[in-house]
Amino acid sequence: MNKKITILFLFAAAVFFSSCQKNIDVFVPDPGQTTGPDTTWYATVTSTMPVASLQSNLLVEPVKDSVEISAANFTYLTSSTGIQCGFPPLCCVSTAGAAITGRIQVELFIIKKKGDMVLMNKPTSSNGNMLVSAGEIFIRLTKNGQEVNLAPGAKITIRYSDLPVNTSMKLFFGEELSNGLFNWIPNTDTANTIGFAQQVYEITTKRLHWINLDYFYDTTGITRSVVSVKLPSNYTNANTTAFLVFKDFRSVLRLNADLTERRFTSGKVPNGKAAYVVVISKQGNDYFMSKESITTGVNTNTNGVQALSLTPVKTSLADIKTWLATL
Amino acid sequence: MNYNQHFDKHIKEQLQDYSPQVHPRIWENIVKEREKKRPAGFWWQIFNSRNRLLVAGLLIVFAGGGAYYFLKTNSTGNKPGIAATINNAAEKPKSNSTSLTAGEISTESKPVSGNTGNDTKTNAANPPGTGNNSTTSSIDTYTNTFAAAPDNNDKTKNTLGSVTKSYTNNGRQKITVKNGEAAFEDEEETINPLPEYSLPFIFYTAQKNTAAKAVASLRNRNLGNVKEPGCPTIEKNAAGNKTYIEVYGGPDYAFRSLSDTGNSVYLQKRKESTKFSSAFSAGFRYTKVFSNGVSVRAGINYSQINEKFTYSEGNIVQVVYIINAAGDTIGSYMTTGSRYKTTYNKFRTIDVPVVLGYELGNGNLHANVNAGVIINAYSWQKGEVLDATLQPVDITTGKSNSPYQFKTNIGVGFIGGVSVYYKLNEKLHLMAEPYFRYNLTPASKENITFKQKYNTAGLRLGVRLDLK
Repeated sequence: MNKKITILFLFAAAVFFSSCQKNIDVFVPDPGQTTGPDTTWYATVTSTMPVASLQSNLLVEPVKDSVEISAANFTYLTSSTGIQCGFPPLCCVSTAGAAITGRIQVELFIIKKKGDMVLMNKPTSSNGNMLVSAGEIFIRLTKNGQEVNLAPGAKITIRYSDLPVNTSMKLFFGEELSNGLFNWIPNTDTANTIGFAQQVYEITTKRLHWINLDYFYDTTGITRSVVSVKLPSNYTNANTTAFLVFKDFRSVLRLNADLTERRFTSGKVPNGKAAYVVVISKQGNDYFMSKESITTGVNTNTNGVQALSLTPVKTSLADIKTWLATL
Repeated sequence: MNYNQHFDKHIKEQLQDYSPQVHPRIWENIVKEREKKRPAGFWWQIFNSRNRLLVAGLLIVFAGGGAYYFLKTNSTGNKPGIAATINNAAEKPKSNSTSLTAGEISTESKPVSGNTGNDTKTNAANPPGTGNNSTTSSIDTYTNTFAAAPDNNDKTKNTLGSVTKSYTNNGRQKITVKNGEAAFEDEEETINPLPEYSLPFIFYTAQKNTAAKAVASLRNRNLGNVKEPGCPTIEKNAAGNKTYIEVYGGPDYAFRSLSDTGNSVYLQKRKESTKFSSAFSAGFRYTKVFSNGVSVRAGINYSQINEKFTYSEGNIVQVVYIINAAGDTIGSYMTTGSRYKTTYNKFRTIDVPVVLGYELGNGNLHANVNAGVIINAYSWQKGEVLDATLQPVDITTGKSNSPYQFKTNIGVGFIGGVSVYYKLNEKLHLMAEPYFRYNLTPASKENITFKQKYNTAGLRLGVRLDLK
């Protein structure tokens, strides 16, 4: 009898425990997949890396307009951005050099806010030197989807208002670099000029695309230091951009990747200036941002490096743009 | 009345109230034999102790009576190697033989011619040992010695009178039978007298005084401390007029049927994605068995069917978030791979079975054949199945209002089984019951064309407690 009871009990236990099995939901990575975040710093940033996608997603769309190019008369375009462009007759040619008249499309926008400079990834630096901008302008001409150039010797006029007008402003043209970097080149062609009026800048230029009015920040006799930002290991130059945004003047510097130190560092910046350190990253389909208000040159080490440690948090793209719009 | 009729009358009178004494050890052995396992066939029940004794007694009586009859009517002395032949009742004895040949010796018997002399009367009413002939038929150990000498006389005692055998010179055996009423003689011709030999016969003597002496002698023996078992009894009303409750549980097997309009791809994928895993049921019930064996049974039953749902999907991009101690998501990364999902679905029901049956059996084994309806009180489920887009969808009762969920009441079904009981004692039985349940309606909701239904078969094991 005891043996029978034992057998019955074991059988009941088997039935009971068989109905208590755990559910399973597992993800099996494909072979060769990384099982953690990418912590590699790359010497060359390619267009396939997340940072390229980040920058693409942050871009502001240009204002699109059109203008009629006349064979005999000046034509003007006043865009909703506040920029007025003047086109002399027969100023446009195709890439083949053929004269273009008639209606052409104009992509135009002006960047006067520092947040937009971050969004457009257009810091104000020229060959590593800090610039103070009066506004960054972009103009592009197309006809039927084809790029339109200015005819040789032809110049267009760009006028926009700004306060205050600083007559120290010089003309710079933008230069797209590899690794997603951007540089402003000082104008050396005397045919390109800047006019100053009351609250108005007038640029006469033979070049299209990125045009900037800046002056070099005079650091003569000013102690300068380097701002260096340390981020968690999953933030690398492959997925992150960092900027130093000065609060008191229109200057935005991009922090460059230090592959050796695995940090983002600025060039030498004047001490004592209020600024934001802004870090934006894209990992997966999510965005992360960190913003730190600092005063440059504070707590620097013996090498004149102001080391900061930031931890970005997950933030929506809309929230990132909203905050940058406040800069 | 002839001799045979007298014999029959005597047997009837003597055995009418016959009751043999049996030693207690015999009962003990009988009880032991009863406790041994024996087939539960109904036919075995015929040969219980009482019936066996009765049959044995009848056999003994007929054998003894037949032997006695044989000895009385046809005892022989000179027949070589042959027992005395008993004349049957149809043969009338000769009477009034008028001559005695030379050398014939007559002893106590009177000449056939009629002089009775010392007649001994046969009185059936007089018991033996009272000076009269025995009133019971007696079969003695008898050795018949056949001798060639004509002067051997043998007198055989019998209760009917006296038999005298005498031998004539010519070797013929003359038998004279004398009873209280008439004397007759018979002759048998001995052809070849044989040398002396013995032919033993053993007959059972059922005289009261002899049996009583034997029992008395056995009782006087010291047989040790033998406990006399009680007389075995037959269980009255074995299956009928009972009331009992049962608790049971056991494994089940669920037979699943799936259907959809047009034998769709969805039907095929649902079949492939789910598989029966295990099932069991448990409950308690009350049974009333009437005197005619018909039973009514009702109770509460819990059933659970476990089903395994498997799902896999390739080319999955998994995003893993990195969260710091403060709970902020500070990073993420993506990995491509495949997802494997296994969910154990559970289909649970609470039911009320109401069945009619017939209970039969005797002794240690009973059986109840029953069938009836099973009414579902409530059903609930937990787990996942595929939806029409072939993605997992939750079917857990109460979590959502998905059309892929199942009903909370599956209505009425049919149930039938055979309960077999093994008696442990007067109150407790062990129960084993194979059963089958057929549900009439599908378990899936009406607002989709896909239908899923379960029928179950199982084996229940339990304990029965007799209340009456």
